[in-house]
Amino acid sequence: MQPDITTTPALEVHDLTVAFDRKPVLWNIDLKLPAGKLIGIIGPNGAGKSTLIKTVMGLLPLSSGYVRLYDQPIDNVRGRISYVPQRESVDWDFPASVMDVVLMGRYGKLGLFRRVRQADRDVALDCLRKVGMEAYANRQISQLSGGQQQRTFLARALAQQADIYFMDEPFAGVDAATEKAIIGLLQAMTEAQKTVIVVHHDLQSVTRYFDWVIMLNTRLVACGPTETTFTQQNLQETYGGKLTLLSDVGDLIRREHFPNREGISKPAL
Amino acid sequence: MNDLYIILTASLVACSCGLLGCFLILRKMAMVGDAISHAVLPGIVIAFLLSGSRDSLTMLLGAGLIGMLTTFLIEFLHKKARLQTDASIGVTFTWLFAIGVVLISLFAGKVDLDQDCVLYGEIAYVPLDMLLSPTGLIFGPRALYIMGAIFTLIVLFIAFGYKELLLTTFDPAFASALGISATFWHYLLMGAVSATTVASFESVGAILVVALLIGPAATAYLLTDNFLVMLVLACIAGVLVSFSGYYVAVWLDGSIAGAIAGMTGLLFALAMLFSPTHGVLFKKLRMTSNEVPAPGPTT
Ligand SMILES: Nc1ncnc2c1ncn2[C@@H]1O[C@H](COP(=O)(O)OP(=O)(O)OP(=O)(O)O)[C@@H](O)[C@H]1O
Ligand SMILES: [Mg+2]
Repeated sequence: MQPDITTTPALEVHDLTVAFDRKPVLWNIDLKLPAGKLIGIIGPNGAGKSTLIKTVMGLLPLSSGYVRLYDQPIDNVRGRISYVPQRESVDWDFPASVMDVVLMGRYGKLGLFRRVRQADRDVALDCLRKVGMEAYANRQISQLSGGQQQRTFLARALAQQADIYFMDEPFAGVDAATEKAIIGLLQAMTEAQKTVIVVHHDLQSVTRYFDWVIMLNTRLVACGPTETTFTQQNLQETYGGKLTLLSDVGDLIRREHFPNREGISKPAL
Repeated sequence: MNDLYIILTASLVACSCGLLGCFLILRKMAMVGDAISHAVLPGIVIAFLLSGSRDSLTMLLGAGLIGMLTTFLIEFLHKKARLQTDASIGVTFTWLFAIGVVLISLFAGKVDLDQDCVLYGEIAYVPLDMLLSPTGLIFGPRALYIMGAIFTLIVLFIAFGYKELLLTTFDPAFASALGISATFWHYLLMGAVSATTVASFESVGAILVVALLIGPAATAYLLTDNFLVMLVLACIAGVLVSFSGYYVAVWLDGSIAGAIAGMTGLLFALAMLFSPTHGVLFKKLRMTSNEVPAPGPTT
């Protein structure tokens, strides 16, 4: 169903199935993503979005299928891949500063036994500047707000200087102004042929943010350019069964296409 | 001279344990140290029965293997049997420790090992077991050399693997994403804990090892927000408790190991009260001086 990609896909997932205790949480996923696009992954809680990212990164075993990045197995291209885990995945009381955490993004480039050098610190500081956190470089990470923690993780991912970025809910807890600034940053990156894949929950901003969408609910519902893929029918199929949500999604689509001039705004989702 | 030997040995044990303890605490695995230090008992006994000697190297090997087995069992019960980590630690080490105790009592006649020795150790005997050259020159206590070697190895291990140990401790998933195997470094670290525990048991006993694995590291954790500083502070705390513990024991004419464990607890309590960052006292002071209004119900 999805359009052909003529150049080498940044990511190719073929016939992927992932199961926990024999219960499949991802089923028969087949997709190809082009390079140089900002791509959203959407789907309800438990749809397998984080699982998809973790599997692609090689953090979870796959029951069947394969994953290729730039037409290579993951282990050949680790240096070109960057990952932003969900913020809750680490202990923020750890004795480390913001700078320490961002520098961890450089470890992959450094390799075993090599120490962090000034050049790495410069890169890290530059990345902190991009996410508006340079003033916090020496701050202890336990003294950050949730949004600042998220931006620290983003800076760490940027410090990897990768070609493809996987971000698991990078905007959770980030204020609207910062979210806009970061989206601007990500869009600039895609213009430099970087590929950015983002798990996203706010359906309202999908059409504004993403070039492509992956709509996921255990199975792949759809994957393609946002204009042709983010349709009401696909949304219903993705979020289907949840009645209140369904009507909201319908509402949302109606508003997207026919803006409500009377301004009777209903809190969406 | 004997005083110095004892204090030096104790300091080396305390520093080795303190360094490893920092990682254990931050990995929320403080009790793994406890588990390994108990679970190596059957390893020590079996190694002794097989080799028939109290040769340290054989014991180190036997106990090191059991230590790894313990780590593996804990991981297995946690991942495959879906038991919580604390429960799988509890099941594993009590079971292995029990086997050790049964083995000792079974072979009590033939084995020159007794529970007291293994559990409590006797650091006062350190100067009695001197390392001699074939010509009869005295090099110093054997335990001192063993602990010196262990300490050097641990310092080298941390110095060379610093980045990897730090990252796999803070964010194992991100480490794996970079291609740094969290599992590999986990087992290396647990191997180091096993070796240290076993090397220490003869001189200080299993119970003191547990105190030293957790006490100095926990004290250091309260005193700083920087990981490197935490490692250094854990060593300083280790040396402090060894010195003070020894002299308290001499003064009270009591057990040296017991006094050192006691001082470890005391130092931790002091850090808890007076730490500039986490201290109870300073938090109180800050609260009163800032005069923060209590959050009202209206907000
Ligand atoms: N370690 C695990 N063991 C067993 N089941 C798991 C595990 N991790 C996730 N699951 C299950 O896999 C399914 C997908 O989880 P996943 O975390 O990928 O969802 P998600 O789409 O990221 O959801 P959210 O929007 O809440 O982040 C869920 O049903 C979850 O219960
Ligand atoms: Mg998720």
